Amino acid sequence: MNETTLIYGIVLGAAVFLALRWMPTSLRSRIGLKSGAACASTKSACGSKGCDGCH
Amino acid sequence: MNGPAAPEIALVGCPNSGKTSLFNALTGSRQKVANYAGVTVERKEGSFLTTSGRPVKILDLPGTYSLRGRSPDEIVTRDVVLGRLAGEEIPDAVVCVADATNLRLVLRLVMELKAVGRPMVLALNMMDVVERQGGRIDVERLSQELGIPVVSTVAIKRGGTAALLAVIDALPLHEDPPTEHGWREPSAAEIRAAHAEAARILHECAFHPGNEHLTRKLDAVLLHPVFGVVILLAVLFLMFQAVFSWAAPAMDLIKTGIEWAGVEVGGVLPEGLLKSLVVDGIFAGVGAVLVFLPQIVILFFFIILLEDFGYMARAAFLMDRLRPGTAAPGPPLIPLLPSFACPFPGIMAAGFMETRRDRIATIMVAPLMTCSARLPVYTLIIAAFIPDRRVLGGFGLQGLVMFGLFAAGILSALAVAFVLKKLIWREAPEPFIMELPDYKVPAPAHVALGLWIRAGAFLRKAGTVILALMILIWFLSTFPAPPEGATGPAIDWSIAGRIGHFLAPIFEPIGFNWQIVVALIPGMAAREVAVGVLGTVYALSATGDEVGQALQPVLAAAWSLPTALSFLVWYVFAPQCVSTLAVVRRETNSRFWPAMMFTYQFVLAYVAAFATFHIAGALLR
Repeated sequence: MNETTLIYGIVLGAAVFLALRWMPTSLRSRIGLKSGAACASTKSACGSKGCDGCH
Repeated sequence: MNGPAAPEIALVGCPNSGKTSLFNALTGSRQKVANYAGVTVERKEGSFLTTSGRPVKILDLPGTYSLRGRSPDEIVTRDVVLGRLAGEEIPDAVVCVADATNLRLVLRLVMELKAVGRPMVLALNMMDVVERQGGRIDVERLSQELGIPVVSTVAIKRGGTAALLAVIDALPLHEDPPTEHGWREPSAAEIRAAHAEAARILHECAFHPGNEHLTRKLDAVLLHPVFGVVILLAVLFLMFQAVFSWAAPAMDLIKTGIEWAGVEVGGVLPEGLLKSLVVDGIFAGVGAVLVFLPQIVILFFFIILLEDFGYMARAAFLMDRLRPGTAAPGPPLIPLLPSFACPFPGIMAAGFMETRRDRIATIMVAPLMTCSARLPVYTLIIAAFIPDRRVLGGFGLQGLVMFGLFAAGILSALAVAFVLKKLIWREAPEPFIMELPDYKVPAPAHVALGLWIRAGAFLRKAGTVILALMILIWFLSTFPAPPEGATGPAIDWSIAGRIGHFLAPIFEPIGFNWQIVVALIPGMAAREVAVGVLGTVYALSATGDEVGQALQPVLAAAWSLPTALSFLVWYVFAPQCVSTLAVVRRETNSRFWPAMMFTYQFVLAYVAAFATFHIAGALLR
């Protein structure tokens, strides 16, 4: 893997991480994501007592 | 196949009842801290095993005196207990925590909680203190009177929760909790009746001489209108000193360690983009934030210690007295003082404030305090433009300008807090009501656990969101690389450079040239980075600390005095720190408040810099 590809991969990873982290909860649940900061604040996206993954 | 999920217990109690100590004793480090959606109210969840080894989840709810919900914290507690907070489960049971040395208020809360109809236990915390003070509580009789199990706990002692764990084991958990509840807001007559009933039960079941004598003697001094304020100021001064002076060696150590690690790692990597990303982006960027860890630990050490001792409630009472009436202009002092080092600890400490109004006002003005990252910028510009001479009977002019910049930050923070409270929360503030707890000797284990949790939260943030932000800012400042044979600084060819050129016309009215605008973009990573970037855009060959010295004559020749003053004023107010915005996002759990902060700071900085540039220009003409 050349250096530029590696750099682009790291930068893209950072951008995707921030986008997921700051994604609105409604959009997050719409695309089927559960974990992350928003999830720590609400269980509404993941249902009931069976959820033990993200809190 | 998954078994049934662990039942969930809600921990409820009056403020300062030792609820969090009990939560820590039950869960140890098995806890997660976040915020409830859309509010700056902390959500703490943990888990523990009962005596029979049954796993149970527990939610530490904000302190409240009743279920009527008079503040955002109390509303969260009420709504969780009643099972009507969106996104929260209906708790399977409620554990009500009482400060056994001060039972009077909690009995009324117990009666309200009983009306909800969930399985319930009353945990009499700090029973060791009652016994030490010669008091006595007939636990069995109290249980009969209230009609619920009552147990004694000593949260700060190993094994002090054994009785509670055994009782939780016996609760009918996991039988479907009813979705309906029998609570309704009590009328004034019902509240009076509940007070009378609480007094009767207390009379029947408890004898408690209390340490009123000691508390009264200490309060006579600590709450004295003059001595109390003097002592409060002395405590604040000590905290201020500690945050700055005691933290300095550890901060130097961290800074040196990060620089050493950067050099070592950089030495292994070949020259090129990857080395630049690791050394200039990750180590320099994240290191600039990590260096504040000692200040955060020291600040929280004082806050947790004073809270456990029982002084924070009294400090809040004294400060309320210092800003009387509805025109209260000032945000609380304790979280704002450390913001002189960095807004991070100030914003994180705002979570300790009693009301949402104070929390938000404190968070919003914390970045206006002159943080240490501004100092390299101030020092550079003052040394380059302000003559080193004595004025007004011997005061150094450069020192006076520096003082003026600090004062501008403080005064603007007070003004913004005042405007925020007037514009956003127009309703009259509620009267300040707080039960002052008895004084207690803080438990070292509780203090240590509190510090561990806070430091962990800070390190997680630095290692995730801030790391990712620093990578992106490095990318913007580095890509694309200049073409072969290009002249001028490399950053001029980068995305940040192009954004700088694009934005330059917007900043022209405040006297900024394109070089300044370009420096502002990577300066979003950390304010002081702007000094290094100015060195780059003015094509200096100096590095490290030498940049500042080499820049002085260059800037003095390239900028006018109005531009320099405008730049200083910009730095007093501008939203020049993306990490601060990220931590505000986390602490408020909202996108609105960081956006609001960025907008008001930008407008304030622009208007102030515009006025400074043009007034200075007119005066010097």
